[in-house]
Amino acid sequence: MRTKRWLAGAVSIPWVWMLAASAVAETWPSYLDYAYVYSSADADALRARLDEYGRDAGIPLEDFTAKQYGPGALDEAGDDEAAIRRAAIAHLLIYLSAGDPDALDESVDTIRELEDQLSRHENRYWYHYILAQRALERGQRFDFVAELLDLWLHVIVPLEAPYETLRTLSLSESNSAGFVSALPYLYENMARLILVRSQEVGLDRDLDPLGAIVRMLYDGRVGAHPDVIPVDLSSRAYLARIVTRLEGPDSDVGSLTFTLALFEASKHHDRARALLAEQGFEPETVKALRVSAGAYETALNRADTLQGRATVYARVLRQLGEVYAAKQRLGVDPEIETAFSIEGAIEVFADLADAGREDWGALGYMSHEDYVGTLHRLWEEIQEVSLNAANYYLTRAVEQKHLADDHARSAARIYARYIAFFHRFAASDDRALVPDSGYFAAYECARGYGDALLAFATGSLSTAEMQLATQRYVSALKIFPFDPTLWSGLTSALERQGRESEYLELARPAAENVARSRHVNAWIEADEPGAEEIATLRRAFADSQALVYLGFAEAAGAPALAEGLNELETRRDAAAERLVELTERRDAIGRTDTPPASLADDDLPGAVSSIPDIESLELADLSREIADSKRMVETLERQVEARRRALPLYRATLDTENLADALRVQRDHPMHALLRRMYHEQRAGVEERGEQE
Amino acid sequence: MTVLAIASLTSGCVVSHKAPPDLLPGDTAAEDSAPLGGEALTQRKHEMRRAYADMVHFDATLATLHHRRDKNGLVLFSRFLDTYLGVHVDPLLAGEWQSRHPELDAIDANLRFAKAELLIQLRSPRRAQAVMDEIQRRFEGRENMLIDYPFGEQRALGEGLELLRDRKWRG
Repeated sequence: MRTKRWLAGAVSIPWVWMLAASAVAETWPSYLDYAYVYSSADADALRARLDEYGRDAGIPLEDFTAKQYGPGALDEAGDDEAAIRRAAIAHLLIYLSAGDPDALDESVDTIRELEDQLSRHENRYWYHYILAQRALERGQRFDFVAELLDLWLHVIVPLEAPYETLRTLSLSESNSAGFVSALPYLYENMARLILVRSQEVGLDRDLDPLGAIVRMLYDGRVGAHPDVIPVDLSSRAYLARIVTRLEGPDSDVGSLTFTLALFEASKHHDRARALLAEQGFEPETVKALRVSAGAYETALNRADTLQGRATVYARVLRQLGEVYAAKQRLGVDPEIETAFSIEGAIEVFADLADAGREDWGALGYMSHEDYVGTLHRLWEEIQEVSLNAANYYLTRAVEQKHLADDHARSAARIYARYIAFFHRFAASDDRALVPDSGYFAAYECARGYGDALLAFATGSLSTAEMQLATQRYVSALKIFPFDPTLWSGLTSALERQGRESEYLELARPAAENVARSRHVNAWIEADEPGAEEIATLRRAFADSQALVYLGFAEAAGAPALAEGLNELETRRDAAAERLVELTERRDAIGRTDTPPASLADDDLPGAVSSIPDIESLELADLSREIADSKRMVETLERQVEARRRALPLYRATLDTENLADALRVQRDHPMHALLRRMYHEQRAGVEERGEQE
Repeated sequence: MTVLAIASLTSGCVVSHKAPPDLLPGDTAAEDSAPLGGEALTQRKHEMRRAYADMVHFDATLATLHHRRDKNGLVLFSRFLDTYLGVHVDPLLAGEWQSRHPELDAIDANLRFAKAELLIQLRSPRRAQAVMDEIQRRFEGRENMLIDYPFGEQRALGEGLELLRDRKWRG
């Protein structure tokens, strides 16, 4: 115990190294008695440690074991249980450091000699620990679980009360505390065996009964003895991550097997992501991506519930999205097989929604919030990977002109799938399952669909396709009307079909939705994020002239429109001057009430025909000119007034910040909530009008 | 008794000498026939609280195994849990005095409810009934005492018993 105390201050090195400098006067038996301190180290670290001990002891462990515990040697020791135990430990250490399965068999055979002496906790600990290692080596998962449950029951539980008593009396580090003082190390070793070692050897099923032990280890055991094992050198943080997942919404009703499988997959995912960022699609990256996809597949196979399947899909879709984004960015297209698809994720989402309608608690969720949170996460991954995949195809359409039509239609199909998915849930009683950002994504997909067919597809489009693409633009406007460029997109689509005249008819409802919206009004009044831009746009939407500008004017042509206004004012002024001049001329002749030529006396029935004099004719001409001039001045005045009012409104919309970009990069932007409210406000209005009709 | 157990544990562990078997602890925790006090009482309270916390974890694990219809896992874990209850919890609950002790009666009652709940989940309704009868006997006249049952909720002891009886056959 002196050894451990001496090393207690060496916190800057891992605890498994703590015996490093202490071996001055020690020999192998002492090292073996304290093997519970360092036996959980990884193979390389353990090998290095044993080599150092061998140099200190003057003989390598293998030689010492052969000499001291080899054939015949133990017989001489008779029933000395310490010698037998040390021999078993020595063989175990050789196995753990060198991976020699024969050494493990030797260890098992040796420790079994103590089966009649398991009342000593030290013997029993090593007995179960060694048998658990053998079960791992052979992939005997039930034996592994049984050995650890026995270890807990027959070693850990009986040691806990005495350890606490000794600790209370400050005797837990006493030389005479014996194996009781090993308890913190036993916790640590169990944690590492279950969480780390089992995964290293690929034991990935039927570990669920050990969930209880993992939870107990986390509950005031591992990391709770910083005087013995500093917390940052313990597996506390790792354990915390596992238990958090085990008990959180990303679980499979608390299955340890699933949690460990998913955790392993996440580690592979992290590695693949890092390689992707550093090296692009190098062979090593592609291999890592395949390994990661395989690990997620394993996790999916271990998921027994919709809760677990939804969790796996949410994560694996993120990886798919990352791959699409990288393909788009890097312009390469490596083949990466995966068993996962967006359709599969949508199916899981729908199943989870259906099942949750009956009883979300039965799905394994602790709260409705957790249930909805899982669905929101899955939804967001579905939307992101859909957008990334579609963007990738549109980029390919630009890069590969000869395949542009195919790529554009692939993108359109992806957009259409999301739109259908969106309408299925947003327009139903399940709309709470749609996250706020799902509405903006619906706008992106609706607009993307129109763009894919009208701007990227190179083949000829049928009338139905053109109409559908146009209708998508209208839908996009209704969901997110705050993108000024979308209005001109609609007119372009209409122009291709010779339907420009329908612009106002199609656009006005979307504009009126904003102008009349209570939610938009409340948003502006409360000065919520983006309120200033929205207010500017709302003013434009309320003005038909500005709406026409939005649809037909080119943004770059705004200065020309201003010049046009100046010209119009000049023309109006000229017309006004001409009117004054004409009026003065008529006044100079002295007759201001000459009837129009058509009402002259000789036109009246029964009137005697007479020839008008020259002055009368001149006055009649002047009167007609004055009337024409007045109409022109009035018309020009109306046009000037309209342009004076609408042009600033339109120009102001061009100066608004790009709200679409802000929402696109920030999925938790507060404005997503406004889009949701607007969508349902519109739907309620439509339904109300339908009922009235 | 605890001190004796510690002495026996520490006496032969470091050195290679074999400890006298009669000094080694058995698998059962010691039961005190007389009320504890001072540090021993604190220690008992700590042990009971830890046992209760562990039983909450067992309950969660059982729920997982049932939910996933993991028959092999249930067999393994049930065997473990059965032994745990018999070897560790029963001795902790044996003392008659602690159900009346003002510092222990609440945790004593909670442990009994936890044990009954786990027995129900282990499909042992008779043994669960025995625990319920024991609760009824020990806490007669204290049905309004607040207990933690089901796990994570609080209710009066009498209501808790009703709930247990209701659950006994439903599992």
